[in-house]
Amino acid sequence: MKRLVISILVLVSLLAAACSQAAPAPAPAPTQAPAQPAAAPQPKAAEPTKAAAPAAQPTAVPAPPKVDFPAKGKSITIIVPTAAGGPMDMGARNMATELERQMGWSVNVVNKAGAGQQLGYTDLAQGKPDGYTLGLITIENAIGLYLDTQRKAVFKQDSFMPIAMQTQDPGAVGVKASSPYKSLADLVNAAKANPGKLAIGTIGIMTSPHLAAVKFQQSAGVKMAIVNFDASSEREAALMGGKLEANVGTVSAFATLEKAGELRTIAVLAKQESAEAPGVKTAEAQGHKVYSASTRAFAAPAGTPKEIMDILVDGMAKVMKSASYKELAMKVGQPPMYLGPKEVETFWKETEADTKANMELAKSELK
Amino acid sequence: MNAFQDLLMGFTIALSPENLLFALIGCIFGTMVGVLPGVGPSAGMALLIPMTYQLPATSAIIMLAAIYYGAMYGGTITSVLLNVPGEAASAVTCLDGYQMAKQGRAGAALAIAAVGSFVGGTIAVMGLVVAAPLTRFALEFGPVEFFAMMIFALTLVTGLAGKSIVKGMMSGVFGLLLGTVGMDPTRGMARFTFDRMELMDGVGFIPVIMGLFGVGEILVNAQGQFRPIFETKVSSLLLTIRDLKASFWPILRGTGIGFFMGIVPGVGVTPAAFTSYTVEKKLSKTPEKFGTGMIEGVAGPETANNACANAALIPLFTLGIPGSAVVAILMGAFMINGLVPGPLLFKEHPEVAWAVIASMYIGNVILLILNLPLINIWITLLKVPYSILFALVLGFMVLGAYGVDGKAFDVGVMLLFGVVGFTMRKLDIPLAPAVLTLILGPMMERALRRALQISQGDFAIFMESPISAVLLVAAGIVLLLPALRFLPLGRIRGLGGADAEV
Repeated sequence: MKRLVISILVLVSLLAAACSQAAPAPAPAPTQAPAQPAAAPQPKAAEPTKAAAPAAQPTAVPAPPKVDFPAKGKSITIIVPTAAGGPMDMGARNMATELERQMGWSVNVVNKAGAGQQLGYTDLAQGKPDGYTLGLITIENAIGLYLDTQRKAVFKQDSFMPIAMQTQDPGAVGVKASSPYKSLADLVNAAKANPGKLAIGTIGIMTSPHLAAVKFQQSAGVKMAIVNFDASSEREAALMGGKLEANVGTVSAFATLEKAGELRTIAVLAKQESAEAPGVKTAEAQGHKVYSASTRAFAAPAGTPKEIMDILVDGMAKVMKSASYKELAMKVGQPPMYLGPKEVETFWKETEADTKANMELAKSELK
Repeated sequence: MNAFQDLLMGFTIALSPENLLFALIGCIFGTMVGVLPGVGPSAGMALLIPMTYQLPATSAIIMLAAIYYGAMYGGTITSVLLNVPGEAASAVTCLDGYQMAKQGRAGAALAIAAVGSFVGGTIAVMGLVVAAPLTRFALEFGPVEFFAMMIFALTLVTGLAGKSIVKGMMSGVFGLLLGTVGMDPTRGMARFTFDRMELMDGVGFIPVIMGLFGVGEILVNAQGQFRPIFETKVSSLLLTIRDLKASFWPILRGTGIGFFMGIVPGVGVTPAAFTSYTVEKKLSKTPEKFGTGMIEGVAGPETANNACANAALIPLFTLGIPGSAVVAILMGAFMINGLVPGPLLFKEHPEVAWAVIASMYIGNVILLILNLPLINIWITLLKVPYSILFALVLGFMVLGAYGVDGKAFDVGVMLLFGVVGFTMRKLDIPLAPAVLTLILGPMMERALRRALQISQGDFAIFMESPISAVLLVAAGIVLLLPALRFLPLGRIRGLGGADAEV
């Protein structure tokens, strides 16, 4: 009896070891790969510094060694800097599923939450630049992390090589549906009538929505009460409970409650109106130049070789333009918005400059 | 009544063979996940979410929900048998449950935990059916009320103190200090992080709890030679009538406490379990016996944590607001399947909503059936020689600590707190208050800061809200009550004011 129990225990511990390894949730096992990767859509693959043979198949020269990426049996890991189940996580899993289905690659999603996404980004920046470690980055968040010197982030923009932009969730201002506010002007008037009393909810500190709230306060010219929460659910609960007058968040964060008729989005914090929030004017159109967004892009650590980057870029581009990916993405409310690596870098630079300015403003406000 | 008919319809869907199967898988997986220390329902759910892509929406959600509430059943097992909490909420079960195990009554402890969990879970699910007005009430709890509630909960720390109030307070303050590590909630300044990024979110409380209770226990037992600590013959799961009678009221009260704390988004399961324990202790005729194996100390908290976990799904269903990070994963599962949790769900996809609710009833039944017979198997574990058993347990815990977030750092934290726990045990300083304050402290601070942000620094806001005012006054009374007894007799009877003439 004793021996039986001991052997069961040993078996269970082995199981637990296996489970704990897998606990950073892997994506499902790759479906049959019909063709080897690096097949059709990679004419640019692996041109080592041999004879510069243009696209045509070389004949006399032995076939140029194609970069075998991803190699058979090796898995690509996408690091998600948030916990499982959230929008970033779902977005990454969608991409992983489609990469497996369409490109035949083996892709795992690993969650590395903590420190406001800093842990995940650090892992990515310090990851091996061999193409097998990738990550999903919320650009505005990452910027906020390394611009805040106190956080001692070990990464900067050039620690990452963007592969593809995935989606951009525009910032939004939402109010309780039963409240009298129909536009930003209404909020501003209410604030002016009660300076320092209009409570506005945001998430995080020095994050895009927080900075936007501070900017809005400045643009309105009247003091409000900005409240920082940790999670959008708490913020929304407080709004529903009447503890806050308005929330600064994103269009998709408000989508659930909006559809349920509990919340009304009164402004979109982007240059154009959003298809996901039809009929809602931009903040700019309402006289307040406030912008915020949650822009997510896949990236690899700096130093990843060009041939591998090309394969990754092409692979993700193909997936993102496909109908099946779009279907998955729309299910989680993340309309695909594709931008290639160069455009992402430009966007990143601009956003960093904006954020720097806004952070100075917010810091002076926090004093 | 329309809701009743809808519920019946839900049952017909939930009782289909495939949905039953998924509920069963979820329950088993959830229990396993609960048993493994450190691996919580979020890890389990995250593991299975990708597989749910292929499944129809209803089945997927049924399975994931079963993992979620199943984990609450599993967490008890290691707490009772090994003094290692399966998750934070089960830490309080260690206090009396483990003692019961030492007296050979592990079976009774596990059985009453299963029964209480069933009652608590089922009643909480009933709450889902009449949910709407409850959620509105729950939403009344903004940061202000939250803070008041936490203050009230903190006064309960005294109940956990055991023999020496001073030592209990020391433990409590230690927990509070520990809770300050990390980023402060409103200014974003790093406190006590020693430049380590891993500490930015605080000292992870699962590793700390596993260290204090689990590793500490192992170290304490390692002092002597490994003699079997379970002296008497381990009884089977027979619950005596006395046990059932004693547990009746704790279970009912636990249900109430857990339910109430569950529908307020953000409170969490652990405060519910602790509150129930302290309430039971205060209401008991023999409070000094708590900590030596009182079955009420197991029945109440175990019921509370299940009631809380099930009730936490209510805001998700009625408003689409997840009450905790784990529930948020469930919400993600809804959304992946194109469903929007909230009132719309009942209008547009009533069959999914009610099927999931019905399957929660079924799930609780399945778990009861699963867990009761298994108790015998678990108990056999105790027959394994201590030296082998605890080596294995330590191994599990290291895996569990690592599995929380994939950080080896957490393992180090756990081991460090194992030494701390050992020291506290040697000094007779109770562990429970530290755990309570470790969890409540940060929550309280966040609530306080946000309340003050709303009021822009005006403390009067705490009295302006009726709920908050009541809670704060109640907390004051609980604190001062013992002191009143020191006043000369004849002037005071019970709660009376100074002028009450007898």
